[in-house]
Amino acid sequence: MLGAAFVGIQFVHPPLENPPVTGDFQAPVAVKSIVQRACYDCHSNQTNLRWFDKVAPVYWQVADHVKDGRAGLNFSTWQSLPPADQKAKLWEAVNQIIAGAMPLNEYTLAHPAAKVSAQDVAVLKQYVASLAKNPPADTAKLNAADRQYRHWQPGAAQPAAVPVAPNGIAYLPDYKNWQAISTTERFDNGTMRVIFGNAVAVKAIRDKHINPWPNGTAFAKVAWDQLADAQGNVRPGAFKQVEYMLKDDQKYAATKGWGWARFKTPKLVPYGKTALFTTECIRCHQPMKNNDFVFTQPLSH
Amino acid sequence: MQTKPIALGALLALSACSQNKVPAGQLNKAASLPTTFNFSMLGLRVLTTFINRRQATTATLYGNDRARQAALGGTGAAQPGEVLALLTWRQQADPNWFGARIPGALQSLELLRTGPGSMGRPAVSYQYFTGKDLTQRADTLGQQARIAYLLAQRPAVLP
Ligand code: HEC
Ligand code: HEC
Repeated sequence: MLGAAFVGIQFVHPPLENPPVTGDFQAPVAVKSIVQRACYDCHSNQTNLRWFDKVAPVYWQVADHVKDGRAGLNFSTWQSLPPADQKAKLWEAVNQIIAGAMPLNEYTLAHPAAKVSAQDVAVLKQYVASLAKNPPADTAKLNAADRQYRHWQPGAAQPAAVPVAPNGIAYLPDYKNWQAISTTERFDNGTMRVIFGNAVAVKAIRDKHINPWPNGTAFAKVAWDQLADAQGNVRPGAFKQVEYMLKDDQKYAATKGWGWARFKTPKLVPYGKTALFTTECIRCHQPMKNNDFVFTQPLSH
Repeated sequence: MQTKPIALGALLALSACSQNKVPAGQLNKAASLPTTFNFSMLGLRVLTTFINRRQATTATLYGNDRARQAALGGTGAAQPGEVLALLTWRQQADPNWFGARIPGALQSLELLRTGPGSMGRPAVSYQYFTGKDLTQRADTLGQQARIAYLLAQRPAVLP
């Protein structure tokens, strides 16, 4: 009976095709061979299905993985990404590997050769670190920061229409009165950040009840360009964005219990074309799932 | 043939919940201020933040409304009633993100207050605390330079 069903489902094969490779990922051989071996089956148009992958229902799952994997990261269309996005994807990739989130465990169980060793991780880390260059700020960067500062009028009344993200979350101006629970120097992308927590977050920190964070917790993370001088003193330059995570395990159950939003530039332009922009946030925060999807280790004042 | 899908299914189910050893529910203890200091009682807001790459430190500058107004004015001329606080930490690698540094051991707190002075210039008091317990230091070496530095900082754009 089960056998018949098993044979039966073998005929249900949604197609999994390999579209053309339009601009393959370029990197030193040592780096590229690790990525090809461990990631290309799901993150390129050169998927190589072994016989056991072709057996349903495994096939269905594999096909889904390849579809989702390619959507977020495709090494075969790599050259169509702007250089800054390529770099960001590589740092993200290395971090997903370090956290044990990639390659997917269910895949390496069946394909042990795709496992990424500690030695491989060291090679990848060294490579991405070599891409991070944070030189002293040039005139263009300094001018952009100055111009932005001059146009910024902190006293001015907020615009009548509050910006709203595609998932319905509105910009919250009050974050500036929240407490700073951490700061980060991001040498991967040349930004610096302050992470603010609202009163609920601060109380949770004091009570040491931060996993999960209580409903009502709100975080705001602000990112600026780094402006470095020749002595290595760095201060914030142009404001890039403010991002929010608002905790409500009922209301935001579909997005891991958090309401996500990002507003870019001092004009606070909502990020994302549709409410689906949150998948991007969640995927990168996914390795922190045992920590309620939060990266920051907060400090208390 | 009968057992195969079941075995594979079980394998997939098992593997879905293993994974990752990220530390969970942790506070950044090294960077936290002593609770007895009651820093939050000062009621200050973040004005800006700094990194010193050579010294591998990171700092956050706080101020009250007056200090913020004065800093935005950009005159550098202090008004009575300003409070500025600069917290400085040694940096540590972010355990959760390769590519980031976060505050590590708390290094110091500099606290500046202005009060009514004479001849149109406010009196400035400067206090310096160091270490994880924020012990106050008595030495005044370099104080004038630090006061000038603190009063000269421009707030970061926070729309
Ligand atoms: C068995 C298929 C599979 C393999 C192999 C695999 N991934 Fe993934 N990857 C996925 C899927 C599916 C997703 C979408 C998110 C999810 O469902 O977890 C994903 C998402 C990602 C993302 C997030 C992309 C985004 O949306 O921004 C990164 C980065 C990533 N993978 C890196 C890697 C790296 C690096 C490797 C190789 C070391 C790798 N993956 C190997 C299936 C795979
Ligand atoms: C490429 C990876 C990545 C993506 C994509 C991403 N984040 Fe994050 N996020 C981080 C990292 C890393 C941190 C830790 C702080 C830091 O280093 O900037 C963080 C921290 C945060 C925080 C502070 C709370 C915490 O978890 O530490 C907020 C709020 C936040 N992100 C919101 C968002 C939103 C909203 C989106 C989607 C629009 C998003 N993030 C997408 C990597 C990512």
